Amino acid sequence: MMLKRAIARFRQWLSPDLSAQNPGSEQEDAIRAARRGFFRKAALGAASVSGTAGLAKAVVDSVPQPNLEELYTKDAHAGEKELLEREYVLMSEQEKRDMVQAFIDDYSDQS
Amino acid sequence: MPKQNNKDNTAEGVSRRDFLRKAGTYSAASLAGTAALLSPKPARATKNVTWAEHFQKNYRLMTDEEKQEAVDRLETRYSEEFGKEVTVDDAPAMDGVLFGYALNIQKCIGCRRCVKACVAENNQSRGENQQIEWIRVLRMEKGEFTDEDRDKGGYPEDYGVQVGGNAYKPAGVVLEGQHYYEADKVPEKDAFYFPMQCMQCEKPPCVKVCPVRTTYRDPDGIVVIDYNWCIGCRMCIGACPYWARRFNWGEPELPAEEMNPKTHYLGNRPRMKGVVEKCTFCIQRTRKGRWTGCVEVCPVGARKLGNLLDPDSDVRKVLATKKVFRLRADLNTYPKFFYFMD
Repeated sequence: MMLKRAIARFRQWLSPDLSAQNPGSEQEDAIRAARRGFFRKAALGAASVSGTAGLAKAVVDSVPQPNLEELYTKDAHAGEKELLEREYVLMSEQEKRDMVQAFIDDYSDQS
Repeated sequence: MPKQNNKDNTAEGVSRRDFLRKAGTYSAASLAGTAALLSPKPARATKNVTWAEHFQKNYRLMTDEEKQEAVDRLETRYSEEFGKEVTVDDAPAMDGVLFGYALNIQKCIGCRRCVKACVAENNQSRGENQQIEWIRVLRMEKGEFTDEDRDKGGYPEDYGVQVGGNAYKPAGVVLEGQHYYEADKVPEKDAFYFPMQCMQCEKPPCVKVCPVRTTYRDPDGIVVIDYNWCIGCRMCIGACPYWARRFNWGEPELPAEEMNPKTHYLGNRPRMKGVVEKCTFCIQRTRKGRWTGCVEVCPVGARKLGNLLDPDSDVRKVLATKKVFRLRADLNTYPKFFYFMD
């Protein structure tokens, strides 16, 4: 009995058309109208959010993704080209001594 | 009263206030939904990035407390992401140490174990599409290189390693090599190998051009990068005359089971998309008094690391007793990476 009453109340809450069967006060009508309005707004909001998001995603997805392999390879080739211009030079004894001294002096200066 | 007004408005149409309110609500909801749906799938390196991490200072400007906070945050995040206990070290440069490196090109057999060890030790991106290697081994045709050749004028006619010099060019060797050689067996006959990596220049051009000062030279001579401050402008890549820097075009591929959990904030901690990285002489090891990964793994002992301030170090001994070469000495970048022959 209680279950039946609860279901009837729930149906009434869900379906505003049933309100006609239950003569209520004006206040109840206003509450139902507000509730209906809320659900309508919520549904409309959800639809617009998902619609906008879907459209935006479609636009973003249509932009071609970068080819990572190509980008990394391009970097490697740029380096290769650079390396072709490298030179290495035999250091004289004096140059080695001067260089080491420069390192030591630099370290002393900074500390 | 307001209800009454609303009713009246509904009867007549929609009031401006209501219209604006609804439009605002829908716009905000749409924007939020769009942002949520469009945000990329949470990638490993970004999914747990906190606001604090986004807004942290340049590492050099942080106080000790801020550094500790940053390190703690990263340790927590990496441990969650990789499913293992990850430590992020922030050991500063040791006093009285200036790192230098020497490589014996006569000994190198081109096995590239150093490359593999470096990739594993320093958590570099792997995989076919986005492979990053800080060490690059060039294979070159064997040529003559003697003191006598050095004084010869002009260049020999043979293609390959060129020896000599003239009034316009300093005497030396012009490198002409191959990356990614695939030999069945190394060392190959008539070939020698030339590994290259960051030279840790004493006057690094990459540091000079960095617009956000995220890369700098530490007192022990290692040039480091604060990845959180790197804006990915690639200026340093263009400035480096040794082509030692690498750029993460995509989110790095680093399998959790292969991740090295012993990391350093300025070294081998996992990087993110859009930042530059390079060799740091395995800062996470060397600042603890250990050898670099490449030195440790080299099967022929071609690699030497040492303190340039210590006359008894391997590097100083090499400089004192061997034939030593410097790459692009003319640029005055003072690289601290030397090539030598017995």
